[in-house]
Amino acid sequence: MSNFEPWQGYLVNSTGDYHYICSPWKFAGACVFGFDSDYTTMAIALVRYLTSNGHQITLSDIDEKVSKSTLLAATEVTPDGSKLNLLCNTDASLTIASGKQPNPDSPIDVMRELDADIYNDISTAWLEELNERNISQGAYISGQQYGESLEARLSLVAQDHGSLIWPQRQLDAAGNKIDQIYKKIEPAGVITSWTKLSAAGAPSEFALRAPILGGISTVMIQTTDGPNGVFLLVDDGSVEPIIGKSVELVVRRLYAQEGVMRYGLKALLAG
Amino acid sequence: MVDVAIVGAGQTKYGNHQLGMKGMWAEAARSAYDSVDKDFQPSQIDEAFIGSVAFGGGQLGNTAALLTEHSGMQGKPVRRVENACASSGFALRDAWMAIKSGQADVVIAGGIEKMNDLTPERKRFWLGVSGDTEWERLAGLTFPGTYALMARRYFHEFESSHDDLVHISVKNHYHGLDNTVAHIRKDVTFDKAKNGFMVADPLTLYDCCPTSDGASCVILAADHVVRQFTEDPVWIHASAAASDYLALHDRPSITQLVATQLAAKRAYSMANLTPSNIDLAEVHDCFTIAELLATEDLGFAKRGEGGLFARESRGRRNDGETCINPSGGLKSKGHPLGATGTGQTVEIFKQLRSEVEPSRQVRDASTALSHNVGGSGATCAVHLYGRDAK
Repeated sequence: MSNFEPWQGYLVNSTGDYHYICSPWKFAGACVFGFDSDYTTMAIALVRYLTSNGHQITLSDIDEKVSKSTLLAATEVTPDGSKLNLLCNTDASLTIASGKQPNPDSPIDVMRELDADIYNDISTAWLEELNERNISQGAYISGQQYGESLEARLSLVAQDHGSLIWPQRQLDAAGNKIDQIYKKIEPAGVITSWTKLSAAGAPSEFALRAPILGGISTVMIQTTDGPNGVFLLVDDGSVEPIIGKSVELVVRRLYAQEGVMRYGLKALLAG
Repeated sequence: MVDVAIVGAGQTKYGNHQLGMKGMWAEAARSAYDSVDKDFQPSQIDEAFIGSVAFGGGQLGNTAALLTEHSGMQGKPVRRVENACASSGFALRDAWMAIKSGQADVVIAGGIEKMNDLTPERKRFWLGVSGDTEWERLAGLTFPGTYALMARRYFHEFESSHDDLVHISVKNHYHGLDNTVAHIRKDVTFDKAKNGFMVADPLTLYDCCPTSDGASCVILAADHVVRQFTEDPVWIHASAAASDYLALHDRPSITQLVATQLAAKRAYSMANLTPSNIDLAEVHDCFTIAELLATEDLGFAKRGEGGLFARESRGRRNDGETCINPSGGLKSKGHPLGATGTGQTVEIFKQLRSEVEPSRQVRDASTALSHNVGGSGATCAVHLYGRDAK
């Protein structure tokens, strides 16, 4: 474990030869994804880890299990530029390395065990949610609408218009188009309010998973740079948030519809 | 400029209604026609505005045309007005403006919603359609969630706790107990309301209004034709409205509704009235925290003292200052989204004419206010009413 460090809710092991990230959860002796993670969210976290440590990441190959469009929108990675490959492992881990894929042992001894019933039920619910016939009948975010705001959603890209505006807006109070000057908001802030919705009160997009989780928790955050936002908790956690407590915003799965996974930022409680 | 009066008002009972949309609207319209003191025919109507979210999507387009053909208004210019839960508050304002403009003398403002004929799955889809879909909904929020965020923040900023909301719930159930058109007519104790099923922490079931079926209808007339219909009209002294950011996180504060403040300020100014002049107010208590904030935003309590206002029962009928929600409010009377705004007006029409059940009558009431909010405060309509013409 000494080579692993916690990062955005995952465990990272970065050496000169390879960079490895895995889930902190285990089930039946194997490393498994948490309730709102997949290869894409872990790939984003690993690239962000490397970027924060001064690496400029170019990849020649991205494993097809990773949503390439989501990864590119959420990070500054560029494809087709080097010998680095992003390869998914057979468990809930992946590696960025050149050449043959190393597969270091997962730190299984420090991983937390998931409840068997909940794990199985959530896994089944995700499959059902991803079914192409899972179509909303009411409020609806189309693929185009989701795609238009993807950088704002995944990377907190705001408009710099005297003050930072996020989510982005069209015209200002004078009726003028707001400047196309963008700045990324620091993905951190403090909790200003929170609630936990019962399964019955949750939006229909969460109808399959909310009953299994016993409801869903949402926090309102004031980011360090100023703008406010509302976010679900990482791992759909049942931890009770506290107003004033610090959070980090990291990419996770939100929900799936019509066969497409929708990603967004969620709040990871500090400590 | 022409003044506008209400000459008739009626509604269905709110609740799980046996009738469909057409039947409910016909019942509300008939009730309004029958309430006119002198002879009234639908053929006298010049224009109609009907508020509805068209919940469930059963008749999403041309809703008003369908409804008016079932209420003797064929051929009249009609349209559906949609502003979420404030739909018929805005329909009332549109009707008022139609008369003010001189283009019409007799205008219908109404509202309708059929919410309880859907499967639970389909209902769940529709319950969040008026919030900020792109950001709030994908963060797991429906309206219980957004109002819960407001409540928790309010408790953090001011000397207040959930107990203050419980007082509001108990008071509104008490007010609605004898209201024969109310959805939930039962006395609720403090302990029961305090310990209800948690819907959206810190809001329990007793902090949340029910989803109701219902329709409401009011008949407005210009001052020069009022006496054709009644010698006892209720005058609309002000109609004002405002809007705010749709999403909570775009607002500088979530412990006040700026749209309510703006609309109230405009309404008081228009009528040359102050909050202390108001004898009774029908306010939009979709959640108990909404009533607490409304008492502040409408000027009945100082900022940060809405909880104290509730604790001291200052909104209780004939026992406090301004009677807040004599009908029982959305909490007890019910909340058929599009019908709620003009439903508030029906209550005020009857209260000011001393036509409600005697046990519910607000004594010596001559001036009233209605406050109808869309969603979590993105839209708001405020109306002021009086017995006397200005």
